[in-house]
Amino acid sequence: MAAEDPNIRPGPPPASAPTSRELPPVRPPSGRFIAQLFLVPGLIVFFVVLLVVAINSMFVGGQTADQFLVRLDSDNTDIRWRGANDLAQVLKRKESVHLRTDVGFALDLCERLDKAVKTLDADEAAIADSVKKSGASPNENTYRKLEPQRNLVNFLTASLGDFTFPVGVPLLCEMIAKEPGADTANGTLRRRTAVWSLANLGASIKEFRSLKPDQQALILAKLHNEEKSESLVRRQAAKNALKYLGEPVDVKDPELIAVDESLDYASKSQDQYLRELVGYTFNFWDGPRAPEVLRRLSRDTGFGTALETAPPQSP
Amino acid sequence: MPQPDENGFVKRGFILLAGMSLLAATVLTIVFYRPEQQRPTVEIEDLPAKASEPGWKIRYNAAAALLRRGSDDAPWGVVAEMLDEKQQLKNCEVARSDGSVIPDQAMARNFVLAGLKALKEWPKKAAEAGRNDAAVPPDVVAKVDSLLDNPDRELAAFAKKTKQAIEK
Repeated sequence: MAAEDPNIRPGPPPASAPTSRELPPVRPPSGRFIAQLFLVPGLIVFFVVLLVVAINSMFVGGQTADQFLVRLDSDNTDIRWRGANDLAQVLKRKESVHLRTDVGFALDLCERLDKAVKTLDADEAAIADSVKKSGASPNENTYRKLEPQRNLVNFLTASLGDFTFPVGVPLLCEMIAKEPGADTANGTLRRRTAVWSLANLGASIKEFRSLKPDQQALILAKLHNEEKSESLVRRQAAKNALKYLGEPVDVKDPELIAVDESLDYASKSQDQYLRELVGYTFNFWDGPRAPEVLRRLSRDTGFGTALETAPPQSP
Repeated sequence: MPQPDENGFVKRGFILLAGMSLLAATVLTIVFYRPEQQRPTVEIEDLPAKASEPGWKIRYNAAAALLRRGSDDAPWGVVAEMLDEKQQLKNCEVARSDGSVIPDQAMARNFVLAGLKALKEWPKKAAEAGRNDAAVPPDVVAKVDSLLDNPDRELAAFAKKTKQAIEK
């Protein structure tokens, strides 16, 4: 045997074929390999995102002031109130500071809210008259067709509370002073929304003080320009905004509104929740009547009603 | 007969499994651990017999607004009631579907916190109005003291800050 024969030296071990247990040779990845792994998926994701953004801007609606106004001026009531709903949500976002400081946009919204409230009041009065003439008693379906217009009013009212300057004061105070009409539930909800928006507005004014001086100066300059506007709504809104931002105003001007007087009126309402909101709102507003109103509310006996109202439905 | 672990694959596999388990346990703990849930709840057996008189929310909002103005007409009785945790638990009782009644502890806590926050501002606002000798009545101070050892840490911490503010 070869292993025992001292004259036969064992040679080198025979070369063996690679077995399945051996790893493939290591090579650096080629450019094509890298492109397959990263570039192609990256391009796919990019085009998908582009498609989503395009669909969003074409069909869902944009978020500039002009785009919101186009939706609010639509002939379709559903587009109007959905636009107002989107606006109410967008204004609250931190990145929407350019909208919250846009004087022209705020005043445009005031005009639209004023028009929407007048239209709604007229429609409600017309329905109440026809119900009265027919002798039937109103039920939950009586005012159902006014739902989109009511939503528009409620969302626009809420939006005014998010601006950094109080242009909404005259309209909000007017809504607070208006007693609920034939439809008590919705009239009550509108008043509550107005008071709540006024409270938010009081808190939002602090944001004005944190703006840069040149931004503040620009806003004040635009408001001063609007003081001479021919539109009563814009003129009144601008004057009251300047008053509550601490600018010198003519105190005898009949177009100036006293917030504390409106809240005083609301504090005597039969609606318990409205009185509760008034007390809260006085954390942000002041006036000669504030201490007396708060003292009275601190002795409140819970008289009146605690009406349950459903908030406006978001889409 | 088990194969010998010549290349250490099995051993490395177990080490990896142990590492992954530890990682998963850490992540799950971070996700699900809720220290608030372990907060001891307030004793609800000895609540007052009756809730506050109707209109209490209206009175509380007005009292808080008066405190934030540093008013010398602050309704101290209402403030003391706001800081009474058991009274707030009674006020915030809700009915369950089976008809039994339990207090909404989170809502009750919010009312007490609101009272503490408003009271904390009162001395500073009163001083700004020129009333440096204005003092919080002893019964209200006693209510604040009773909250210093509250099992709710946030409530106790705020009670401490309020106590420091009203003692200055």
